[in-house]
Amino acid sequence: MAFFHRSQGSLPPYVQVLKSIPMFARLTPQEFRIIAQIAHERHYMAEEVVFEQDDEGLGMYVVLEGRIRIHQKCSEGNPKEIAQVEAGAYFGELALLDGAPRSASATAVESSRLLFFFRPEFLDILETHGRLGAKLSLEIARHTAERLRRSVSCREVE
Amino acid sequence: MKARRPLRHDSGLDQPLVWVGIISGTLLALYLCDRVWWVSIPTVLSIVLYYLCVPFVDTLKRRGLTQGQALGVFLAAATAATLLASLIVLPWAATQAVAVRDGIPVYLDEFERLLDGTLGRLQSQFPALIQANAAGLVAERLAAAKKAFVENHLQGVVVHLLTWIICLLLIPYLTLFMLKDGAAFKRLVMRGVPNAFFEKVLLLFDRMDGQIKAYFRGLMAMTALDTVTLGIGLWLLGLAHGMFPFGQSMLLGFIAAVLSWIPYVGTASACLLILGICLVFAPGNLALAGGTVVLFIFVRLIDDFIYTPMTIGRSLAVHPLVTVMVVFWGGMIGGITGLLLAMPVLGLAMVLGDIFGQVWFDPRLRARLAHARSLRATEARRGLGPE
Repeated sequence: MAFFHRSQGSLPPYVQVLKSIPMFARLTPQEFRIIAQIAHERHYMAEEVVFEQDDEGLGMYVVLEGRIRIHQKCSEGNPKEIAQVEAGAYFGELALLDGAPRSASATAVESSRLLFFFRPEFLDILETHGRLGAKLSLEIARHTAERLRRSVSCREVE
Repeated sequence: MKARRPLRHDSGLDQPLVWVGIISGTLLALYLCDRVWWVSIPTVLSIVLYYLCVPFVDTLKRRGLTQGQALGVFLAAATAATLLASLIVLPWAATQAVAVRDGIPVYLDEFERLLDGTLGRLQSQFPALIQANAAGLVAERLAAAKKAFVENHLQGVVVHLLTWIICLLLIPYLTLFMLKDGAAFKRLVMRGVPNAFFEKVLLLFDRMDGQIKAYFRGLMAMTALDTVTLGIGLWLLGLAHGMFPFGQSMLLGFIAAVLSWIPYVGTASACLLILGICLVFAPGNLALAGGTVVLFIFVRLIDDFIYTPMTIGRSLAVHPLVTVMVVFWGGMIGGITGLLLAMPVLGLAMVLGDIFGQVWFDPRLRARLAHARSLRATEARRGLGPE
């Protein structure tokens, strides 16, 4: 366990995955070290629930390994799959900004390794490390805008 | 929009069970604290110091320093400030300590004389006391207690002080590691929490952190305010009666402020202590004794209506009966250590109990835990034979 070993200043192995995600791609090694201080690594079995719709939105997950199904309950009560998030992608990022309830549930499709960023700790980083905070916030805003644009264009086609 | 409140199966027994756990946990922790006081006292004090130092380190980080640089700058500044303060305060503190040590036998003699006089006056008014030999019995017991105190405690003061100094040296060391590795330790603890409870426990931990931070910072601010108010009050009272020079009144104010960390009992003990000093050195001076009582009542009122809402607030909303019971039991189980640590330990136990209660008694979260366990069990059994 990392806590019981003297740190040699090396970055955690999951940083390679983070580097492939646009949100983290521009971070320096020093900034990855800061990010590593607030990253919680979790392991989920296939079919294990990550969070449920209407749960309090407490943070964002990055998929390091495996696949996560995002699904929503319809008015008839049947779950409807919205998306599948694969390794190198993230979900639940809006909770980092507003803490609103989860709009969908997330369940592991296969055995998955996730990285969780908890909202209060993330806000702390925004406050104490302005430059890093600005980079991350800008990427989240860019990602949200892209999704919004995509959903608007889909409606126009329909 | 508010998050969905989890469905709670309220059996009516949840809260009492949690409270039984909180009180038993607090008393057990106080017992352990007393058994290993040389570790528990520095640990608790270093947690207090950690919460006091965190804002300074955060301010440095906000100015663009990394965690390591911020810690280095803070450590250098704290060492310089401690050295400077030691050069100024230590000689004065040593003089005061020697004066107090030399003064104790004198205080005891004066107190004995005062008690003799009072008992003599009482006996002249109530002859029944002469038949019971009350004065003789009290004087005999007092002399035995005084002899035991001087022989057992006063001689060992230096050895005791040395033990304390070694203990107290642990505080900055522990604090530094908490500042350096606090986040890593938190992540380590969180790794042990099942996925089903993980987010909720993280949230409750965060709230607990905020609550403890507010409590300790408030407690320190209140101690400083109490020290100044009581110190100035005693100094003004003493001016008219030739007592309490400024340094001594501030020292007494500080002792009284620290004693008032013990709820209800602390302020009364501090008042009795200073009243005792007044009666010993100015016997019969009712104006001074009355003034001291009025001063303590005044400070108590200021504490309740101004200082506490300004500093600690209502972060520990505990029923007074529970507080008094825990303080007394804590004192019985853990002596002075138990008395002093009763409230901080109760506060910690309350938050942990609250986390446990909210997580464990939530049927949806427990269902998710059971589901995850069955998935893991199935995975572990795979390939062992027919399902």
